[in-house]
Amino acid sequence: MVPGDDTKLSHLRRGALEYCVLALLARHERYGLDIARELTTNGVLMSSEGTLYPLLARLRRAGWVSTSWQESTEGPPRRYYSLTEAGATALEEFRAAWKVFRDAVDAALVSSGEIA
Amino acid sequence: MNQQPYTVHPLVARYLLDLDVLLEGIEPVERAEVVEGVREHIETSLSHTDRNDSDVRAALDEVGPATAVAEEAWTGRTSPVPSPRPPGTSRAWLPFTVAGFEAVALLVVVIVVGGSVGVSSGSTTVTTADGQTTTEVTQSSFHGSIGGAVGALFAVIPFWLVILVLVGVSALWTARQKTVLMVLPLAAAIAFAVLPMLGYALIGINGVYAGAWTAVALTVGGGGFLVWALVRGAVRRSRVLAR
Repeated sequence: MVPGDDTKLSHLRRGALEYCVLALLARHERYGLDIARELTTNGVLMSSEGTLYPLLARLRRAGWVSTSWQESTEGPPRRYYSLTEAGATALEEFRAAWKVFRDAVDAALVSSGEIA
Repeated sequence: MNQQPYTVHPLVARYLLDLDVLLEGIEPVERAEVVEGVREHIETSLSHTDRNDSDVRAALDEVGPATAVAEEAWTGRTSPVPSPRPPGTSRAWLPFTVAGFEAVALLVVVIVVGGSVGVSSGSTTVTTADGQTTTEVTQSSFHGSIGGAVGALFAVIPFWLVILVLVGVSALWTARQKTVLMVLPLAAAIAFAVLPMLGYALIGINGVYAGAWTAVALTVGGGGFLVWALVRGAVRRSRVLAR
């Protein structure tokens, strides 16, 4: 059985998406809607905004992100997510691993002539 | 900063309820964190809108189906294992059963109170002093309906207790909806007790009939509509959860 595009993307996202969230928080803290809109921009990394929250809960439980409440001039107070030191370390480790992984995948695909 | 008070839109309340049910079995803190995160997300995305139905539907479309959020929350978990089927108290049999008991309870109120409300008529013969003129004066009296209402309350208690248990344990209704379903039989009995008496006090014996028919209309029409609407919503929710 050949998996459909959604299934393929779902498999590819698994294990990478949480580090994309960490990367978005690397520069500055963000609130949930802000993160979700960024991740769903092209529909590749995330298809439903709501799926961000189980992921954020896992990251917080792992100690990789922390939360704080901030007043907003545009509506109700917002919960902001920020990267912890442990999260920054995990992100750096992933960056290194991802480069090796991506290069290996690219090499395999190029050698079989599946990408230009 | 002044926060404008707002009420949760029924579609949002229903979505969050569905999500909460789907997360049953996940650690309570994480379960609450996910539901609260989604609630905040929806509120933030609605903060610049009129919060009408189309705004809310658009916001919920962007959030995605509750099943997708729950699926993400269950990712990688081996224990506790999510049930492939929703719990028994979230299946379609429950709202249908509650509807049946509500209908019987309301019917009992109508029959018991309606049968006990007494309007009696009496005639008096008046004879003038010269013994030539006789007039019959008919008088009607109203016995009141408090006794009937109390009787109805006792009669519906068995059905009401079943309703309390079924509605109380089910996750298919919000707290407000549960309250409506729980107080409906009692409210019907009170309406039957108060309205005929009020009508009698205001316009006499005709007011009794007006009050009684108003109570019947409220019970059968209003109560029936509320039960139908709440049960229909709960059945739809149970089907969503069963997917």
